[in-house]
Amino acid sequence: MSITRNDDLAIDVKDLDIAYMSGKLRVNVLENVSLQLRQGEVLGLVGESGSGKSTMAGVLLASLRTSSFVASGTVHLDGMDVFKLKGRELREFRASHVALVPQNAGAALTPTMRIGEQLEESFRLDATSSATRDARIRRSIELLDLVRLPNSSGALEKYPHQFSGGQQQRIGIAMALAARPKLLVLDEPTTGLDVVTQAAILDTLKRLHQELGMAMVMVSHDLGVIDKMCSRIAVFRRGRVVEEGETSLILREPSHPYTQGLLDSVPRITVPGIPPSLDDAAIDAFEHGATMPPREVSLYERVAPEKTASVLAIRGLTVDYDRKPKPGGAPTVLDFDLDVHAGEIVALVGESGSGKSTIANVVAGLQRRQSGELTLDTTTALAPTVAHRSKAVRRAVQMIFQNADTSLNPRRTVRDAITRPLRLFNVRGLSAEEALAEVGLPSGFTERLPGQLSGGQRQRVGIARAISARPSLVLADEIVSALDVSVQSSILRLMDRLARDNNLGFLFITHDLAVVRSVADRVVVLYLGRIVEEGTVSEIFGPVSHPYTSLLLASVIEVGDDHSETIAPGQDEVPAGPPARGCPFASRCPLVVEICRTTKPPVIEASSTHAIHCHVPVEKLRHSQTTSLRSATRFQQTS
Amino acid sequence: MLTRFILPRLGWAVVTILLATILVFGAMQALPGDAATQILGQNATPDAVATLRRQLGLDQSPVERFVTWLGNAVTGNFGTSLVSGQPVGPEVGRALLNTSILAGITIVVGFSLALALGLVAGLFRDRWLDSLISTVALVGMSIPEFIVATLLVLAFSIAIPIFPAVVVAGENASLADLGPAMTLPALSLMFVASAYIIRMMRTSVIDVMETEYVHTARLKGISTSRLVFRHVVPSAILPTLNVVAMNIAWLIGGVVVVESIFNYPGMGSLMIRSVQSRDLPTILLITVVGAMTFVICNLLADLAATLLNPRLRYPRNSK
Repeated sequence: MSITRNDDLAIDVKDLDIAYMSGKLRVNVLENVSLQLRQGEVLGLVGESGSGKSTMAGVLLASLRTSSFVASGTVHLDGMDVFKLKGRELREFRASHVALVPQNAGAALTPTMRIGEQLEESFRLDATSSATRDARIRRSIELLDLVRLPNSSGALEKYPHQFSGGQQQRIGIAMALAARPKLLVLDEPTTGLDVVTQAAILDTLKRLHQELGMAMVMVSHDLGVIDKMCSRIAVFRRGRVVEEGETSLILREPSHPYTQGLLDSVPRITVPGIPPSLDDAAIDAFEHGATMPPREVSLYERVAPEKTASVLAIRGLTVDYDRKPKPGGAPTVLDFDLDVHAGEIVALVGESGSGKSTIANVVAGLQRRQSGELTLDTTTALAPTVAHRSKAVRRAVQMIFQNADTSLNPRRTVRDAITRPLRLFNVRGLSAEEALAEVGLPSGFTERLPGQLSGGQRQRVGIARAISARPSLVLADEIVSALDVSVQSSILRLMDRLARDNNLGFLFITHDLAVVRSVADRVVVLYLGRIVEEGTVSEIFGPVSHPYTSLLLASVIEVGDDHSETIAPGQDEVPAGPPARGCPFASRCPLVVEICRTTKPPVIEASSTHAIHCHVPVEKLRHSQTTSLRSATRFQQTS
Repeated sequence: MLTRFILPRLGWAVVTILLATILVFGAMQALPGDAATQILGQNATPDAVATLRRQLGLDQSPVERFVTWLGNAVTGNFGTSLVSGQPVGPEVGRALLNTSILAGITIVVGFSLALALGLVAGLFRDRWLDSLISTVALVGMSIPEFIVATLLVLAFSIAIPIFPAVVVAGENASLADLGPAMTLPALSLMFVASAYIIRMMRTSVIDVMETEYVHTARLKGISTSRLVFRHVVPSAILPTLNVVAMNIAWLIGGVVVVESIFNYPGMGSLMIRSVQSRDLPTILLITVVGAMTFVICNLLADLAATLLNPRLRYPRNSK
């Protein structure tokens, strides 16, 4: 290869501009970016959606979106000018020097090819590993063992869809490591995963980095993950690097208000209250020469309502997706009780597959139940399906969805979206303008189409639509999960205000424990469709909890943790379904005793509001105080 | 696999075929005149018509006649032609064989070519090669087959006379007679039927090329041919299979227009003649054969899709 220089640097990016043409106008996706990374180091690329961090990751793989081009600057990887490579040279460079761990391995593995073949493809330039069929199989199994995939030899003959999300991610990592790359690029490698799986995958990645020593670049919006994994960090905002340097330094003492704002707008499991939003105006002012704005650490602490009337009572709910239950099987949701009171925000927490969305759908009348009583506003029994419910009941129960962009009709104006439920129920609710004012949007937005709104604004329209019919209960399914942190806290504050001012009961479904801590009044922890613990928010995040809750809390990764804790092998393996008897968590529980596998756990009343479903005596459920340790670090850091 | 997948479909197939025969039978009743008036012509006396009707069994009520026909059909006896008095089986069989040969050539040559062209168009999306292929496919979809056939005759039988324009020997033609005469009908059919397959394959390839797994495979630095034939084609071909099956069924179920233009002695020509003479047993057997072809082709397409799609072959929970 020709153009080489300074190859002790894994990455050397100089004055890079990446742009695309919009008509005659050149739009810069990356502007004046310079980055360097030494061999063996780990660089984190941080920023919100549209900040250019993913484009940067693509650049490091010598890959651009079809319409984008390098307007100026150079990218040297391992001393090679990658955008000068063409055809065969480029293919060989990709097959030997750099590799990508994609965001969603489920979509990044070819569905029609067996795992073994996809792995072999990645190391075919490696002469010794790919010499014979035996050698190839040996190397493939070695790779899968390296990433700790259970039953590695049986995996080669399987197809991607036969693995869980976490396992697919492990296969994706194995595939990336196959060619022994000198640079590994990880694009949000754990974003779609449950918190325990995320912790386990990050542990694996960290170990692999120590063993193999390649340079890594990790793209993430999650500062905790970056803090755990990366020695260096580059903060992106609108295509520019606003700050770059050693992770510990930058996350402890940011010198740019954007980094500071990102850090401060993230909710923490250790600190109650809703964090402040990112102040874009102040950041823009700083970039035009103003002084660094003062650090705002005041969190808004929500106060739970006092003894209000019940808006939703669920008793003994059982849901089974199998019409004809199999012997040895168990219902998806079993014996579920829940109360939501007026003005209260109740969080329903659990990993994917825990049945939280199933329960929301039952309440909304979209999913049939096998048994159980649902009572609305203390008097009205909820019919099983929405078709059997009166208009008044349908009006009283409204839903907000996770993806505001797909739940709004792209061809209908904001006004249409908001007033449609009113016309349907034939009630006088809020006008479109009033509803928009409620969610903090100007009345001029009524004639806009969803495509003309930002992600946060669309979610506000979704909320406006839900509240315009003056419901008494709102089902909010992961409504902040898809939003950037800067917008997230403003939506959380909006939820708090709507609950207080309008006496709305919220059933808030989420997997994000930090968000729960910031906004919920009470929490129900769900595991495989069974309640394992419920209590007020301070009790759930307090020192005594169910082993499952403890595992979830221990798996959360935040800036300022000591990051030494690791997840025991196998702890992230969720069984396919609940067991027919005993405690659902028995297969993963570190405190498991014999009785757990046979008998339904009793309810321990730790307080009048705090119930733990567990066989283990309450003294032993006091966990290792990680949370209190963590709050100490947090305060050190913010003082 | 057999009980879960094939048996219920076979059940539905029987229902489909039954419904098709009832519909066709009903439609024939709605047409003015019957076999007796067609055979005897306009000047026949009412007495003669009535006598012939009695002889042919047409004096019974339509429901009675249908039930009788159905009872015989179930045992494999499809009756005799009202026109020739011969059993309908051999006659329809001959026509089916001729159509099958024509369809077979079209399928093997035309559809493989169509899949390949669709793949090329998808891979070279928005380049000149794609524009060319897409335009030709669009023309194929928009022009009715009789115009395509007529243009082909103008070009290759009249302007440059290399192929015969029609099958002179008609329905008595031997296979040797049919050989050269088959070229133009086959070309017309290929042109029309391929258009849909090209479009579908192109769209499908474009969709797959934009998936994350193709992007990831490309970043592995594998060769283009491996990328196309291992990663793209197996996924892209799945949605196209149903369109292929529909086209195959359409070909065999009687390419009425093309066959009559070229006087090709296949199912289409036979059907037109039988409708004109109100020869109900022949028409009903053609209906049964056509409906069966449709059902079988779709069943095969679904089976092929299942065999090619690992998600259906290995459901996630049956580890």
